[in-house]
Amino acid sequence: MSPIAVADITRKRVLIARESVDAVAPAFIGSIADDGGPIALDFAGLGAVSPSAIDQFLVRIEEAFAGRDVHFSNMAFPLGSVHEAIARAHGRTLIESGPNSWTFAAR
Amino acid sequence: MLEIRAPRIFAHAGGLPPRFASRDPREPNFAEDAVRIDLRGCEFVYPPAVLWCAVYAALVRRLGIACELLVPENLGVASYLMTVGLYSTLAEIGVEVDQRGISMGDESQIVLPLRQFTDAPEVENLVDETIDRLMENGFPGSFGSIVSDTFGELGINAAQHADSPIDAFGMVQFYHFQQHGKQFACVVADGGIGIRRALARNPDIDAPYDWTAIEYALRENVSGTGSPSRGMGLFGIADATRKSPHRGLIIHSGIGMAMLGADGQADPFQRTSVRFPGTLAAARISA
Repeated sequence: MSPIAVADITRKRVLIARESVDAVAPAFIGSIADDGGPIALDFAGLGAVSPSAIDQFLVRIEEAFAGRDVHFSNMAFPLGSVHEAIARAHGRTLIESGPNSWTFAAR
Repeated sequence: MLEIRAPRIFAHAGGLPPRFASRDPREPNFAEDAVRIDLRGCEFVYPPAVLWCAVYAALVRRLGIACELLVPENLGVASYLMTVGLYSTLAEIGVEVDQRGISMGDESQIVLPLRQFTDAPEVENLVDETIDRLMENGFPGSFGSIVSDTFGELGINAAQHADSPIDAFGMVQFYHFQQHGKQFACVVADGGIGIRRALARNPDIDAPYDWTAIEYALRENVSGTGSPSRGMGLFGIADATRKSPHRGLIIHSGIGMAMLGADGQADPFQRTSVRFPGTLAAARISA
């Protein structure tokens, strides 16, 4: 499936608060095909996405679609230990799947 | 009148005279008729010290007590404090500041001047503004993201967990040191309940002292909410600081202080003789 353009849904350049993710959750959850395949989110155009916001994306996705890989592309900042900690908290493995692209793989 | 005289090099509240500066305007027994913060002898004032001035004065004014800031005699330092927005912020909350003869200084160092903020949307707006300023100054997007993310996480913590009656304050500043190169300071402070009381909401955490509470707060998955995936933001900043020689982090909450990235610091979690009436977090990031 083609990635969901997060900036088109949020109409923001910055996602810091969990509430900001919650506000757009119905829109992006509704865009995800219920086919059991990987879920792809494209963060192009977002200058800052906090660890809390990343965690909240996973929380909302797992509420709707358990056990699917989640692919984040066009991340504007380097992958760090905090992102690995987020993956662990969700029982996932974090893989740097390409330049500025990460996959939170379901175990 | 309570007079608090700041040191010549005023880095943070830990350098203030404890006998006076530890009187806590959040406490019901705070019974001063007036407060004067004396910066006249300051030759250098760092951002964490700027935020202490804002927090302490705001807490005092909230009680309806008169408060005055005596500006530095050193005109350069006095000008810096005007440029960073301290005087205008204090004037808005009714603090007396005699600004005669002081003019604005070099604004290029100030990425985000001192701002008071209440909630998460305001934090996101400030982060947006920070990104704009960094891009205008030619910093690459990935670096701008690190600075703005750091400020954002610290800001969200203050806005959502501090229970601060005076809201929170924050600023981002750029330095160019000959010895250390380019550095950013992301500083946030509030006049709230402090980290120890915030974490006490989580029954799994036993932190009897402010310094042990700070130590807990910097660990993975620790928060006052008890939610398994919360408590990542501060951990992420602290972990990145521990792994990089180019970063530093100061947390001052109550009488606890953490200084990560400080040379020669055997135990980064210490008791301080001066109480911060709330929480301050200051992150240093080298470009």
